[in-house]
Amino acid sequence: MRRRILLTGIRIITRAKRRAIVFVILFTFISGLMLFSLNFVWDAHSTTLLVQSKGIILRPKGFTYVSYDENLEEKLARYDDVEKVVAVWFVNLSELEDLGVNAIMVAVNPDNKWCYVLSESFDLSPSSLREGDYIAREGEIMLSSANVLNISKNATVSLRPSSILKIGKYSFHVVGMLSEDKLPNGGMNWIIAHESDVKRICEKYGLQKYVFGYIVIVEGWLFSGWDNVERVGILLKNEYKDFEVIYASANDNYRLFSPMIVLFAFSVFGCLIVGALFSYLDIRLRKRSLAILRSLGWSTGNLRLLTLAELLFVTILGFFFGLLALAIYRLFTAQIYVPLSVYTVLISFVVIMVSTQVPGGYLYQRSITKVKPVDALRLIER
Amino acid sequence: MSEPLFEVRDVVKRYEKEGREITVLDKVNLSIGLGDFVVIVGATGSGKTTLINILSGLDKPDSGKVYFEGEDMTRMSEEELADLRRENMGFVFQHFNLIPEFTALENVESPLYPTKLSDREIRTRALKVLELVGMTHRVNHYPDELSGGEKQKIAIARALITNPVVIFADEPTAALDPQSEKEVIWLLREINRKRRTTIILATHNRALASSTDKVFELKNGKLVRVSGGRT
Ligand SMILES: Nc1ncnc2c1ncn2[C@@H]1O[C@H](COP(=O)(O)OP(=O)(O)O)[C@@H](O)[C@H]1O
Ligand SMILES: [Mg+2]
Repeated sequence: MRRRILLTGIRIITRAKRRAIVFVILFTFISGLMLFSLNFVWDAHSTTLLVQSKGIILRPKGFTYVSYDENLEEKLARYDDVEKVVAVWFVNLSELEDLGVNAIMVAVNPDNKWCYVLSESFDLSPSSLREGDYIAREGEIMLSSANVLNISKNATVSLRPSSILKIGKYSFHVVGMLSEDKLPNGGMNWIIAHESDVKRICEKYGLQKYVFGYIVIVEGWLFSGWDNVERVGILLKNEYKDFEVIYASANDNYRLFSPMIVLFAFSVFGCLIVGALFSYLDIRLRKRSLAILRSLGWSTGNLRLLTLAELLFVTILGFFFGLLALAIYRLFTAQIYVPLSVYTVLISFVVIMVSTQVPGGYLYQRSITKVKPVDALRLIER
Repeated sequence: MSEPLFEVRDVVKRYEKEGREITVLDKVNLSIGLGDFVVIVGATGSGKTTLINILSGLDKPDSGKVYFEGEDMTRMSEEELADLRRENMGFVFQHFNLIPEFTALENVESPLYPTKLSDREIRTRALKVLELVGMTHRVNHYPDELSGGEKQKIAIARALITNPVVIFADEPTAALDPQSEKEVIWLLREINRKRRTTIILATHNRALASSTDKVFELKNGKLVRVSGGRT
């Protein structure tokens, strides 16, 4: 019976074609906006934004790099409120003349790929990709778009995605090219490889490990993390005087996220307004029908369900198109975007559903129960 | 004689109109038996609709009693009255009151949507009453696409689908051409004859009554028996 009434609601809203289309478009726009804004606020966990908002960067003072100190890494990881420590380390292949490759090989763990950002001009995260894909597994590498590798004393080669590079007995697949201005310059060639590959080469040839810096991620969800960052940051600043300790203050973070929060608030507000508008129009335009159904023995609960089905139909369809619109927008603007997480989609959906139903529910409650069958009929007779 | 379907005792209904009180129904008494064809005639504004609303429990009298199958309707709650209406009464109105968003078939089915009956059962019943009113060829049309007479037949089918014991027809032909009027009245008589459904027909047109009907006239708030028919 509920199912039958819900289906009837969907049937009648699809028959009011113009109104259905207008509201689906409105909800598409609002859903897109909400997904877009929540995407940044919530999904920052998996992006470079995370390092900006919850990360502390330790960079050697006065040097570009120093020898890798594993004790330091362990020590950092033991602090309270520290969730994760990632060392950005590398080996210099030109230290081994036998290999004949003059390049720096940086170790990257694809699971932490959002972490590899030390500064404006040192960013190995996916947002620096110029073409191809980010490495996903062992045996894959990325190069700087400016790479020209020496293969012997007087021959060079420049590689492209899908080229194969052999270092000793190891061969690597080039899968992507990073923008050259996201890597420190100085005539250096860059190979960004999977951590375990670099470890293997390092052990095999007894190469020295160096570190560009350490990234410390602070525990806690975004907003609580912001305050912890300042506490841990000050601690590290006092403790490690040889390092430059870089972190964003909570205030910086609020500034970074506030446009998105405003956008989110705006989309919630939009839901309330459009939801109310839809319900208002629905009640106005269906007044006669609702009155007739009431006189035919439909309860106010039945009528509420009927009108709810109409609203649900346009919001759900709008949400679906919102997702689609966002995907299409991303497809046609050639930038690397923060991936949408399931949570973002779920939360947006719930927020949209609730915020559209609230004013609608209130209006329906007031109007349908107010109409007594006699008044309804008298209203019609005129 | 068995207990009457409706028993109306000294019903008074007043309305406030432009500052002064008018008595629309002034101590009205009426008894209606199961299977009766009742015609209530009266000029526009004489109180026919008011009487029908009181009989169907849509409205309450200021004083007096209305019994339906021996039960005092004036003491029932809104919910009880709604159930009573849904289970026992059908309505046919002057302006058809079809739902424009529904097809003819859906209009006929709509009273049964909020019930436990299966979709299939509802469909079967709808097609049966549509056949009875001779409208099976128009089931997928919207009300806008139907003539006045056809709309009223659909409305009658809708009133019939719940198998009511009584159908209230308030000026069902006032908006129709003479040919459709004849068909609709004939249809109501058929229903009354075949199914023994009590019909209560309100009209300003005295000519619609036939010799076998129970005819009453409303005038200045008083209800007068004009002719008796069977009882
Ligand atoms: N809700 C109301 N408020 C005030 N006056 C009303 C109301 N309902 C009906 N009336 C008045 O009662 C009288 C009878 O109305 P009605 O029963 O609709 O007559 P009929 O159906 O015979 O044309 C009319 O004068 C009408 O204006
Ligand atoms: Mg009337």
